[in-house]
Amino acid sequence: MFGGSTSVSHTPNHNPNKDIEVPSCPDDSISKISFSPNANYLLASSWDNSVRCWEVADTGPVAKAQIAHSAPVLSCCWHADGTKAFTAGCDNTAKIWDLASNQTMDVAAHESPIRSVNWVQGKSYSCLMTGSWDKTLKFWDTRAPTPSLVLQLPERCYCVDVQYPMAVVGTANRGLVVYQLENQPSEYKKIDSPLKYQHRCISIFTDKNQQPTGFALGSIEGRVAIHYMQTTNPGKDNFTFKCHRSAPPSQPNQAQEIYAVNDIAFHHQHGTLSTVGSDGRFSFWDKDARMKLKTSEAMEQPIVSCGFNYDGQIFGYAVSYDWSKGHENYFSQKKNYIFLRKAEDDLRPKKKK
Amino acid sequence: MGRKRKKILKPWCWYCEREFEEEKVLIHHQKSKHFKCQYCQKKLYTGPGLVIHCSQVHKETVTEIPNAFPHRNNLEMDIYGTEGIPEKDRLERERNRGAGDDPKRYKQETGIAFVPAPPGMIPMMSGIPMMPPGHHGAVPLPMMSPQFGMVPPMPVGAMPAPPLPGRPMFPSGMQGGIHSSTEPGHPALPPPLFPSGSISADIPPAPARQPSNRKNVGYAVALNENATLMHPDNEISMEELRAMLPRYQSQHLIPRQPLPFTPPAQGEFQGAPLLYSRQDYPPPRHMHMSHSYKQY
Repeated sequence: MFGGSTSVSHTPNHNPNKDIEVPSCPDDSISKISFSPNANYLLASSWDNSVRCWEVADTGPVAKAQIAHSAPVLSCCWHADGTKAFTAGCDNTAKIWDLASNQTMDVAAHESPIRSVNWVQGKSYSCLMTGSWDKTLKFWDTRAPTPSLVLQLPERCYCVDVQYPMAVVGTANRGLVVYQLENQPSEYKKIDSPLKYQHRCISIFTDKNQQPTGFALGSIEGRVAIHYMQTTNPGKDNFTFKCHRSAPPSQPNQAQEIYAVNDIAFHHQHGTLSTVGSDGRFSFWDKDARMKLKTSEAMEQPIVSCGFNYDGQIFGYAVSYDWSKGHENYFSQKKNYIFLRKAEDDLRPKKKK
Repeated sequence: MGRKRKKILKPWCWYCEREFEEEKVLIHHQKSKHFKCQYCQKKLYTGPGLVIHCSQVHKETVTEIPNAFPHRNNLEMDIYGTEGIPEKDRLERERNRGAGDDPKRYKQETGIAFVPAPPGMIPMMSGIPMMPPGHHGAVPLPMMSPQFGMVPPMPVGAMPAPPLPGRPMFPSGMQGGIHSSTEPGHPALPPPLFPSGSISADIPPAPARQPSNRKNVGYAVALNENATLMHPDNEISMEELRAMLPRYQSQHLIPRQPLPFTPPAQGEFQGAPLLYSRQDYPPPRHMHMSHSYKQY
């Protein structure tokens, strides 16, 4: 009766959670997926140099368009109006992609691969923000060839999230910098990392009025830190929790396997969050009740990226090899998948008894 | 007449066959060894209690009773102390305990591969870890098979490591020292590179790249003796490592110096001749990353 879960994971099944499969997925690993801020469209950037766009129709996802970079694409995001996308990666450039006309144009450049692109939609201005392994953060008016602002990062940029008027950047060597974006972007605060290992993903969360109040930071050591920006009691409100680890060994000579947290996404309607990891699972959490809501069955490969669509009805996650076991364990014939699942119920916080 | 043949069994633990002087101590043992939640260390009272706790509080599925013998790790058994032990197993033990004149038998340990016993084979096992307190020194097994030889003494009170199929057994006290030595037969659980906590919280050393045991290294870092970090390196991200591969740079920018192609040692990469082994492409591990980026 019990104990069946281990045997299930060994059977070849690419979709153990029985979710909706997105067609025409990239041939090489997916680096990031991103849902449109106001419609049911989905972007995915990939190591095969492509960026693809799907419409998530009521009848199911349909591939719509595709562009290519000259090197692997590491990040993608949407313009706030949902008609354009931004893509960037190992060719050191960022592109704007007008989905209506299917035209692309280079809009940003760095000296090293660009790890992140984010659209900043401010009250008085809007711009594109790019973070790179060249240790800079650049802000671009998409019509000008030079950046309107360059900020130095303490280290290589690893993970970024933006929610006006706040931006937060996690870097190599456990650097963590918060920026304020009002009027002109500027550094607000450097924070000592609440985690002891390499930063890997970061996501801003908001209060009830949709104002950013803090962030969740994930590391390669299967751990997520919840950090509030302004709190009277940081020792009590800020905390970390473990995730994406194999079960603690039941026999003394076994070792627990600890996997990287690859992405974190907040459900904006419920305030709950999802984490995905190199262990091939996604989990849903309620940070306020400090409770786990659900953990998925394990995929055959790691989950590299996740997100919620604009109205919080759909949870999307991308299954690809992420290099966590080195190149020895990279099998290019293994397929990459994006799955969509109904999010509403699983993400609802449990009612207090 | 008048001689009582039947020995009274001391309280014993069904899960690991250990014997105790008092039922109270046995219950304490079961709570801390077999019914302890591995996520929050809470001690539960029964196996089913542990299952319910883990599923409700942690949303986790328990697959077996911790530290139990493989044939005794059934989660559904409702055992509390000596209550709930199946009649069959109790009789079996009674028979075995009564068979020898000397009940103080010793555990068969190091070097003896345990044969996973179906319930019918329990006699093989049942004499194992009885170690009454205060008794030291090695005593030959009464019904010793030739290859067992002298049995090393077992520290009093040490909990015998539950044996795994096909593996040598070790007393649990020695775990840090032995620590899953290289076992090529277990690729799913690569042995940690740095046994027993050589890495503190700060900077784990870069994963070793010795060609000798390359099969087992390259991506996992042992955090301590019972945790392995499944990530290649704390100093550099997976994307940076991956972007250095020639296959991801071929269409891009400056033509790079051709790297010496080394055919893969095993046949497993034949479908992808472009791949290089991690040892063969730059930068060397000691080089600081900021330099290597200038290659882009």
